[in-house]
Amino acid sequence: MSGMVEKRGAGYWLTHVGLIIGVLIIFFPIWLAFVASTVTQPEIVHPPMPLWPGDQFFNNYRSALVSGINAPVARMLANSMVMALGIALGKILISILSAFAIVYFRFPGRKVFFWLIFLTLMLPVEVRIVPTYEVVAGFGMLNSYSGLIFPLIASATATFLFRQFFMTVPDELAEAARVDGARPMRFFWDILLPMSRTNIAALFVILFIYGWNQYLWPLLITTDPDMNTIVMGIKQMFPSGDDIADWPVIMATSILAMVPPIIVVISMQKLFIRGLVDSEK
Amino acid sequence: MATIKLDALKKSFGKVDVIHGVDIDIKDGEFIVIVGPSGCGKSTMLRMVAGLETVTSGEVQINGVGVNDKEPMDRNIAMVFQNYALYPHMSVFDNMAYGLKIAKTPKEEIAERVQAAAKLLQLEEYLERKPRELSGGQRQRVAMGRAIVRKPDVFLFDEPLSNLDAKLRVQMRLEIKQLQKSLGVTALYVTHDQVEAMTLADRMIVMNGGVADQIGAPLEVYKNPKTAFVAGFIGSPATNFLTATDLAGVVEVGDGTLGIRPEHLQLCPAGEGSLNVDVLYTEALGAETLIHAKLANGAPITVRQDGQMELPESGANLDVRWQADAVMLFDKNGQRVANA
Repeated sequence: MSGMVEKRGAGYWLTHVGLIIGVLIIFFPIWLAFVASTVTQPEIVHPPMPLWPGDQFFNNYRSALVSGINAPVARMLANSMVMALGIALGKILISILSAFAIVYFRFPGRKVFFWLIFLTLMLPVEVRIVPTYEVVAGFGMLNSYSGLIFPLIASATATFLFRQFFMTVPDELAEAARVDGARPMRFFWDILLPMSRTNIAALFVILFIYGWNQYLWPLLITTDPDMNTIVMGIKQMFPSGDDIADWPVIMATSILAMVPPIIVVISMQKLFIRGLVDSEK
Repeated sequence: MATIKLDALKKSFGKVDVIHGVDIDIKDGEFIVIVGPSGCGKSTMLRMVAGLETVTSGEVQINGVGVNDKEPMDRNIAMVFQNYALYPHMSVFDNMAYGLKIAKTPKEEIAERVQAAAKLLQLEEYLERKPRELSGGQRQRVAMGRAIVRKPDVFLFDEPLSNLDAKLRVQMRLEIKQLQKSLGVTALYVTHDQVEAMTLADRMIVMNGGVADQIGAPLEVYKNPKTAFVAGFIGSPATNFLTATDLAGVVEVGDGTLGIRPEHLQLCPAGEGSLNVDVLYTEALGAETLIHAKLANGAPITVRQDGQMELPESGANLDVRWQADAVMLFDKNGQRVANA
């Protein structure tokens, strides 16, 4: 990277100071949440609020994970994990297969299906939430993982991404595979799928976070606290009426809710960026 | 080991006819080159033999059996593509072994055959590499290796050398020829490069707008072109075509044309030859010299002479002459007619 910045004068340091201040401002609320999760309830409610971590870290996190308020946070984390993984993997599976069909096969109604998929782009969850609820309730899928996952699996965006990628794969590759004796699904498994792995990784990161951050849909269909996901669960922890909020436990839950997406992003960072920047051809 | 027969082979894309009926019998072990300008249907014809394009009418036979309805894999052919079409995520070994793996060949035999092909193509030290770590010539060899390991009846080549630089192209041309001869496999080779066609072919098919203008041994095609198109396409620099007005009564051609190759023309002092020309410029290539001139009416004419001979001045007024038997006469449709 040397050479990118030629002048190393005052401007160089000023930009860094500016950036550091920006990061501190953005990071400050998260820091406060972390501090709040390590102190006792009275310390939070009596101003001024402490700015340095206290000694209640293990107590607060243990009580959050094991008992929580409505449901143990460990249980909510597991629910969120199942939902996010289900949505991410389901979306990838369905969209890569539909992109494969649309790009490599000539079948009647191919254009119609393509446009139908395109149309669903205009229908985010929030717009179709009432009819979707009807359907899910009709199938008896309220308070279940399948109810949390299936309605969110269809993805026009991911289908488009794979379609664009498949269209850059030279036709000769499919023809060479055909001459080598590979039938279509064999070509898909042996050649197309391995070639798409960076795209799959990038999509997985995006879709995992999309699934993890779902709020409205789980709020609507999970009435049983044992099925709560963590993102909506935080809101459920807020007291109604005159009850006293257990802020240290709520803050500990917030911090815990951030951990899995961060792990996914950091561990898949390399693949993720490669998948967005270049495709291996 | 196979014979191929194309019987009145036709291809249309919708209403557009691309191939207008091609017939040829290809003998076992023969090297056939299909040559022609872009868009003449040569690649389409090859792809029909491969089974990658459907046949509109007529028949492709391999070993006397019609294969029109057979999938490429059931025709026992191997194809080398212009951009090589190597699987980017597989090692060289896996690229070559893929077809055999699908055919459920035993592992030891796969290893044996890939090793043998790698040895033949000097790829042994690259077997673990990915295609992107290879040079153009090496990728070309891998594509050939992929074809060889399957022990096909027929090799199909679709402009395999056009992505290589000039020097490598000459080298690979020789290698392909040697390989085909030593393996004795029937080969169909598509190219737009007449040098490749002349050097590789046992027989060549000169395609022009979906029609096989001429099928024959390279030298036969060169010496005896059946149409003006073939005379103009094969041979470099291209044949000079002169019309009645250019010739001004020197030779009677009516509404047809007279073709004469630049190498069959000689310059001589004005008054001693058949046609008077003004020299425009010369291209000295060392071994040979090309002289570009124009006739009295402005029509261009090219003369090729040995590099040892004296260069004419630009603007010099000279005559050209030729041997009567070097002249090729064509009627107004471009068909060859006997010399008068």
